Amino acid sequence: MSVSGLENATVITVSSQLARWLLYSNNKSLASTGKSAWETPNIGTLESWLKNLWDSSWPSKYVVSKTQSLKLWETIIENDLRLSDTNLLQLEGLAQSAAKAYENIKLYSIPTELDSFADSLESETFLRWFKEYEEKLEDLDAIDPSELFTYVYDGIENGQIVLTKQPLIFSGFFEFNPALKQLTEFLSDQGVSISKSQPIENNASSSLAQTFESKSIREECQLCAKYIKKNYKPGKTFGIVLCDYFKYKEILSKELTTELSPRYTFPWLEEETPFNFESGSPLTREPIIQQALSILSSEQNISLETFTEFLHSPFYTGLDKEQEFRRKIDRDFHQEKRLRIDLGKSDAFPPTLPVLKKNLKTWFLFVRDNEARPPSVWARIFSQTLRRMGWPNGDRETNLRTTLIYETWIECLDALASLDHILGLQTKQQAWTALKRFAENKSFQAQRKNKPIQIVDFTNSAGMQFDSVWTLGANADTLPARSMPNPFIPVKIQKKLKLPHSSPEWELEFTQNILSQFRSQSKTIVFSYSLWDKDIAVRKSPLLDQYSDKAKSSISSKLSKQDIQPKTESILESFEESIEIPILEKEISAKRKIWSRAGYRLIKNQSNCPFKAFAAHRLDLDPISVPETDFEESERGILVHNALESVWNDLKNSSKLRDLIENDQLSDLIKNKIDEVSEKISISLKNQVHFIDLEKKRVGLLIEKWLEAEDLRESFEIYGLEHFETVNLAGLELNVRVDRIDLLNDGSQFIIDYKTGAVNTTDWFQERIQEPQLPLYAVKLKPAGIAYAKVVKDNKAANFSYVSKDPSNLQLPNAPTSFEKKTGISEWEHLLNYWEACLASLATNFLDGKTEIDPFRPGTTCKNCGFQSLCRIAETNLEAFLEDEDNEEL
Amino acid sequence: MTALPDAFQRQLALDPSRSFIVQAPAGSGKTELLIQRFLKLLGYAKYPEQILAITFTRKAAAEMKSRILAALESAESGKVPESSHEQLTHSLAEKVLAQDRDKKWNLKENGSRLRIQTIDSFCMGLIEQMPLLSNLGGTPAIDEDASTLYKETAIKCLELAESEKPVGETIRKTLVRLDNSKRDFINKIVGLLNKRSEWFLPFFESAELTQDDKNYLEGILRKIINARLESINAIFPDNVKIKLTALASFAGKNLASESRENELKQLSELKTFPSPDSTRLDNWKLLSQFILTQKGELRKNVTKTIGFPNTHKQEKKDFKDILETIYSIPNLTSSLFNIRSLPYPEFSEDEWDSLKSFISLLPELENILRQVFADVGKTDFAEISLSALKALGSEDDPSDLLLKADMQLQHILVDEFQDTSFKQFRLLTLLTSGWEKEDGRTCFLVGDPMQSIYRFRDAEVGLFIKAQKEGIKNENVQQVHLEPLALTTNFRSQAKIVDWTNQCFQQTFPNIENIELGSIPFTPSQAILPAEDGPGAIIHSFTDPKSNEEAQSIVNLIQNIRTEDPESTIAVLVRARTHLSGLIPLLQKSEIPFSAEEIDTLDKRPAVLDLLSLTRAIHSIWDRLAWLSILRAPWCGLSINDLFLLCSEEPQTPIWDILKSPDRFLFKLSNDGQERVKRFSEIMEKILDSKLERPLSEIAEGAWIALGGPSCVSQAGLRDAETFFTKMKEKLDGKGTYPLRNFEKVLERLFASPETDSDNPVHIMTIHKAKGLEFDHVLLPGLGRKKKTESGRLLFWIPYGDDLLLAPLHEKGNSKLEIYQFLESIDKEKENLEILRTLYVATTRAKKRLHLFGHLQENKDGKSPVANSQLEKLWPFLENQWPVESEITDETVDTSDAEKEKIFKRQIRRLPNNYVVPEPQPNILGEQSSGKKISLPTEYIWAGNKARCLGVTLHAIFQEISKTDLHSWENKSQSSLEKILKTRLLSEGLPSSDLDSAIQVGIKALKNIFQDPKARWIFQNHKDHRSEYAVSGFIDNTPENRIMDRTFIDENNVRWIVDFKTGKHEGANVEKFFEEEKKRYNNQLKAYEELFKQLGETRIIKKALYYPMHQKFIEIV
Ligand code: SF4
Repeated sequence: MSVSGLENATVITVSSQLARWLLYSNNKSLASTGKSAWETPNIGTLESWLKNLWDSSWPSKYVVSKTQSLKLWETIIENDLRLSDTNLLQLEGLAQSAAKAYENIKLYSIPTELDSFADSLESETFLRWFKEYEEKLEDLDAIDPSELFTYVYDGIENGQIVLTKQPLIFSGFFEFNPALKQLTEFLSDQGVSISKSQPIENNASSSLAQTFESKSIREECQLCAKYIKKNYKPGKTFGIVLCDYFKYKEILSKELTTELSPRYTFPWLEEETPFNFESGSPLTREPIIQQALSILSSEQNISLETFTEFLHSPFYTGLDKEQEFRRKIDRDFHQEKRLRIDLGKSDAFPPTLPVLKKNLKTWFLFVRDNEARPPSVWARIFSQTLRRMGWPNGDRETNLRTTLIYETWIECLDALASLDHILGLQTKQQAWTALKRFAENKSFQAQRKNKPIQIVDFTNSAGMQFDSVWTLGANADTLPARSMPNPFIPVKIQKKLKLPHSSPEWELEFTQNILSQFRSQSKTIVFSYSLWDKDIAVRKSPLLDQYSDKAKSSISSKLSKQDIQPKTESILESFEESIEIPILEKEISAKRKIWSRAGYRLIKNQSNCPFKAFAAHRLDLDPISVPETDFEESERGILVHNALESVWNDLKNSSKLRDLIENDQLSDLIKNKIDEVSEKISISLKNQVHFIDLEKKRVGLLIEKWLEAEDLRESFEIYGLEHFETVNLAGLELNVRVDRIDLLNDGSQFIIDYKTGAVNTTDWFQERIQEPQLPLYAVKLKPAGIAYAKVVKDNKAANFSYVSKDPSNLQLPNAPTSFEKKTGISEWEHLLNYWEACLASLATNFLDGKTEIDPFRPGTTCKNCGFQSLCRIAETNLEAFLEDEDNEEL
Repeated sequence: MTALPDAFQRQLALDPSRSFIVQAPAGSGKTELLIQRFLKLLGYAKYPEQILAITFTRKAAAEMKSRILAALESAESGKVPESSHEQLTHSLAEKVLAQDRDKKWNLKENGSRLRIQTIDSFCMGLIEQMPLLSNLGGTPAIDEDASTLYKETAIKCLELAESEKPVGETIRKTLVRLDNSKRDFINKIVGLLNKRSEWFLPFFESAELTQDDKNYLEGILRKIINARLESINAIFPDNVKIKLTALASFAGKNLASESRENELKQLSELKTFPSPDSTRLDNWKLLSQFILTQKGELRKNVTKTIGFPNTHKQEKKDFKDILETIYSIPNLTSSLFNIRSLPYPEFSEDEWDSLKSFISLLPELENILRQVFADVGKTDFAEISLSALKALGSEDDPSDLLLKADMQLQHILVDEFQDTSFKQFRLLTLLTSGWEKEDGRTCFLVGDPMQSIYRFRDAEVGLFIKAQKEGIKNENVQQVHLEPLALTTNFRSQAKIVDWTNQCFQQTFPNIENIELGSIPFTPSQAILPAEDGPGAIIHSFTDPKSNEEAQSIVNLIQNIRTEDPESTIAVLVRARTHLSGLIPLLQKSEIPFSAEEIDTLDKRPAVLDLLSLTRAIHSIWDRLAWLSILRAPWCGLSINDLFLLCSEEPQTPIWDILKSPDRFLFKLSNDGQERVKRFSEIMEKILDSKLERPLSEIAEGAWIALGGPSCVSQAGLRDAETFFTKMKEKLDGKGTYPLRNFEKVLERLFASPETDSDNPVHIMTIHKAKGLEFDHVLLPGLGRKKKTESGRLLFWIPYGDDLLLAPLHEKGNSKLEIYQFLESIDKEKENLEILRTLYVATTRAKKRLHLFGHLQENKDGKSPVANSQLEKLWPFLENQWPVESEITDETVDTSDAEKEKIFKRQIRRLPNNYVVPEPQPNILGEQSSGKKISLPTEYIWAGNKARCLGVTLHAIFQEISKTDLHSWENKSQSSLEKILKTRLLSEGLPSSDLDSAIQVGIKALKNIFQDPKARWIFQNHKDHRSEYAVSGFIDNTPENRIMDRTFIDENNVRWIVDFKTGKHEGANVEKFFEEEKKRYNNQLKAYEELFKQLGETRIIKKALYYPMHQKFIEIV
């Protein structure tokens, strides 16, 4: 935009982006003439121009802001729908449509008569809201921005608004809506010169238009990026117009970054990108904001994760000075496996953490505040609480990004504060939700200045002038776009009055207008489209038929991205390493205790896969499995185990059991024992009174049924409960603990392990014993049998899965598993020897430092292992993962 | 050219005044027919929106639309095509063009006026116009993978177990049934939610089951049982009935005299042959037991155990004769056997009780789900279509509603009608309600019931047959009469394939039609293309399903085809992803280009696993596994030994802390390892320092690139990484710490991108995805395998004709309930029929040749297909063709051992030690960030917006004062000043609670000005005075726009620049405050001075701050 002629004019734009861009281009073009300072031309949006005029009359009615208006609509709609018991999924979107409908009714002077609106439930209901909205405004002594046209008109007419006779230039408007038309005609009658901005003479005939097709959206974005890189010269402006803004935004942003400012990818370089998007990303995506919001919504008991995050966060004070001590407390808490931290108990933290304690105190006080207050007061409390903790810069020097984020944040607080008279008293939760919504909808730009490359939405590109324009996504579905009439105004009316987006005809005309504007304003124009959107074929926009397709090769084909992605083959080296990592004396003495404690799990891991054992016991890794619920299978099992232990501790032998059953006292004993052991149930369940109750009942029934089954056995005595032994396997000492050992009539022992899930005795018999716990025991104690006691809910009789030397002396209702069938070994003693040999060989393997990646059943073993990321089995044996499901059935 | 065998039908289908339902088998060119009819209708339409075409996928919609537009284009070009059907299309298009010109439709420019869409997008359009009727409000975004939301719903529902309301009791009951397993509860609820699109069925509307409902449900069961009994009864010859009754009662009596327990004793009471009525189910079951063995075979031995002692030779013989007769009647034996699984049509108290409570959960769930949707601002597809139904269904006359919504539909075309669900059928019924015969409105439904394969998305093939028979009915009033048409020509496959499929499926498809079960008899096609050399279909059998024998032979075959016929297209189609049995790695190894669509999930990809570890490591230094994994990943590539040396002595220390104290640990490592660790640590240091500066996805990507990640992966890996970051941005950024765990689950459901650079890759996809496509060679592996069966559902329901069958899950540990089991068996029957149809779809994709791969299972009667495998379904036909010797065993190289070898030998691939990640190029503007921290004026204090609002308001008044004059303001009354201030302050967004105090301050400021001579001087009508003077220019080499509060030339010809500061210093030591203020604003005012000089000001320039609240004027020197 050239400066001449602007000095005394007021430029009124259709959008704020356009206003900003015009100012930017004006600066640029003036700078290029060698000037170093000039008076800023008067450029602003239509809205602000009207509002300024209105304000200049020092009126008694104020104009509600957009935020206020939307909240007003939301409140009205919500109250109205509550009456009809309707519960909407998306109130916000609906309020927006309603506000838009209101605006259009005002701009197009649509009569709001019941007759014409009785068309549908939507328009009829809207009419009710409409009335209420007007009443509300009346109460507030306020007006809606869309009413300004009339108010300003009247103000000028009755002399309250004094006009300067500066010429008005309207930019980016194709057609004036009736309200604007009326106003401008009136102004022009008053002697104000009105014009629509004419583009600078670009010598339209020289403008070069071309189209590109590509195979995917990504490729299309890459082409665009390459094109700009190739053609950029200082002083030149580029416009990138997106026909489908949200579909393209992220991909384009990434491709532009890699191509035009690859350094931006590394946050520590604090680089800015050479382009601006019309709207940035949601403010809530910024970690600073996210942390703030999470503090403001937290409860008194915070998770360890949140605590750790707070501890190490640079956004609050104290990190620098207390770093070392904070690490320590973090480590302590992790080792203690604390799950939650009570903010009210920070006094107990060590004195080495004064700042942390102070901050946690502030946090605690905030959490305890449960008053209902006006939004503005909440806004202030939110801000003060965070500030007291040093947010957002903590001890750091502030940087540009933080400042920009903070400024945007302030806008959200401002918005919240402006709602006092609309929302009234709010709970903390309500105020927080409103604030969060503002932050989500607030777009954040990581830079303050306009850049020579602008990315705009097609619909908002009216009036924008660039040296070069590239339009992305110019396909038949977006150019022209699908029409979208407002649901609250009868469609007939909308079409008749040609409301925006009301009909395909409107869309077509609008699109054509913008296209012809591109043609006349830019030296070069490129349109591109992708033939495919994922798997859906897309057509080039028919409005571009006049342009011929250009070959992609006209744009340099090499992406700078490829610089950092040389061909894999040439770069990676193959490296062969030993699969043995010997265990030295030192390691043994350091780890002896830990390994003993690991017990059978060490052997089990080794038999699952040597690498797994290595990772778990020599690298000390613990695959973190994420619990899906707060009461998982394993915890359910523990309750059963503990209760049974406790019961047998009392009973001591089978005759006592019989006594109790005969005297009908068994249930009571069980109930008492369960009450006893369930005291130790995890804290997270503590509040779940009903659930615990159910669980106790369940365990009670389960145990009762089980004991009744045991009552059918030959008599026995309890030899040991939670019995502990140390086994030495080829020099490896392992602690093993077993649930129970019974002493049978003939003096032999019977080892029992309670199982509350599925059991599989086959896993006792492989050479690589998959379930070594009981065999390990058997090797040591040489019992007459080992058994899984299946304490599970089942309508069949409770029973054991077992193998034994002589089933006859056990008198169990069901037959044992035949080990002979499984192993070919017929003698019990030989079986024990076989087990010993197998176990010893596993132990030897471990002690020899074998670390091969050799899962026993690739599918299942790996799936349950958790170390895939370290052993990298997926690189060599993809099937290990793929074929899992089939294993069960074959 | 000879006329097509079905030419007449094709022609009839274009009659724009009649409604049709067209059965169009594979390859019969139905899309072309649809297009022709669409064009034909357009030629008559008032406006294009009157015609709605509904397709099954967005892809199909796009294709159909583009073909119609292409037809219009070609008609415009005037070139008349050669083939006759193209000519027809051409002439139809010409007619449309004429209309288009006439009525100014601009169809070509405005393609969106052609209403060709999927049912979902049609529904979306409806609810956009009916935000209230649909109960949706604004149009929410759709989450294509809503399972996370379902899970959240289930968890929230579980929390209600502690509720004291009735729902709490219900949930507790449910929990008890599931053995109190929270995990199970969640899974079952998610299962229910997955089937939510069927909850609209009228039955579920009332959440409370009544005795009537019980009667109704039992009534249906009774009906089915009666029907089944009837069908047996019908084939039982009358004379057999009489004899059998006598013999049964005879045998019963004999048994009755014995002491042994025997159910058959009851036969002694049998007086008449049981009528086909559920009340006599007992008798039927006894008879079945009497006639058949436990296994369901006809009795061979007639002995005293069933009541025929040796003493009664005659009866024995009679019974044997009867058995023989029964044997000779087809299907009778199996039907008799099936009686045993018929349930008694009564719900036990326990069943009914559970059913009631499960059903009462549904509305609760729906509420919670909606709450979850509302919270995230998203919804699922089911919600959209259910809402549309709700909107339409709530009107007496939906067509009226549509009219108002500007959607007056005149014609509806539906493609793939065989995969219609009840929900869609209901929608169609609503859309056509009020239609009458010959009112000019038509429906055109096209599909192939033999190709109905979307049961898992609630497709009901029975609806096709129903529509064929009854048209579209609403409450027994037929609103659309549909004339059935059938196409028979196959344009796609060569004659041999058509023959093969005709034979194969004629033998395997059911003979009779059954709406409820969806059983469809086969209709053969007629080939147009001539036969090609060699066989049309080849069977490849192999033996060991655990080896990669099958995969290897597929690879060999593909290699052969690609050499012999390089241009041809090849597809590998499977019913389940797992049926590929390791084909993909083999293809990769053989360097055969392929595009695997929705086959590989991301969580299995090494590149993605590394990225996940990297993200986890950045996220938490406590994640030891993640940290070791990223040290091991190719970008760092530490050997296991070095890893071990690095960390084994510090089991509790975070790895990052170890890395940060190099003196203590590093020296232990190999030289190579030390260098690697050093390079790695340097980069990680930077990453961790800045990890909170940007959203996590950006940090992770920056880290990955900085470490050299992109250099470590293949093109496919790059694409995977791309998907990873995109998803991460969508799912994790801005969501706090918690979802990182969930993110792994998300990856399990994401597929690696199918893109490939090859022009003619081998296509690997599921049969479902292949619907509508064609390939020269089609390979069907895994026919010998079966699919995993699903676990029990809390509520089992199956639509059965117009009815609904319903049963509750049994209590955990108990055996399944009879009715539940019966439903399962019906479901299985339906499923078996669907497997056959899936096979039909698969085989008819082939143009030139078909290859079938499978294995048999050894059992006592020799070899046979695995039960429930696809092969089993084709067995009646394939049995005779099955190759005796495997043709391919010889060629197969058994690589499994070699594969294993490789796992033992540990070879890793990594970046070389001296690898340097290329320095990124500078930004194209040539700017480089200075790196220095800029000092910024902002103070991070926000104590409300009062100060800002007041500032802006006062500035505006000052401007006004200087424009007009001070007197007029001085003379204003207190109240009018207050009013002025009030409006303006509110307009700036000041909270009402601050209003009074702000007004007081404002008044004070104004009064101060009126009274302060210095202020009066500032506001005098000086020379060249301006307020809010906007100037632009270069400050520090960057263009800036600045606004100066006030400037003028005073009596001494001095240019003044004055800035107003409306704040008030509340504390003590005001002088110190002003000193600081001076410093603070020095630069700003200097810049103004500079700008003025640039503008050409040569006078002396003086700068000052003015504080109205303090009546303080400070000159800045
Ligand atoms: S994932 Fe598999 S191969 Fe890797 S360590 Fe675990 S079991 Fe072994």
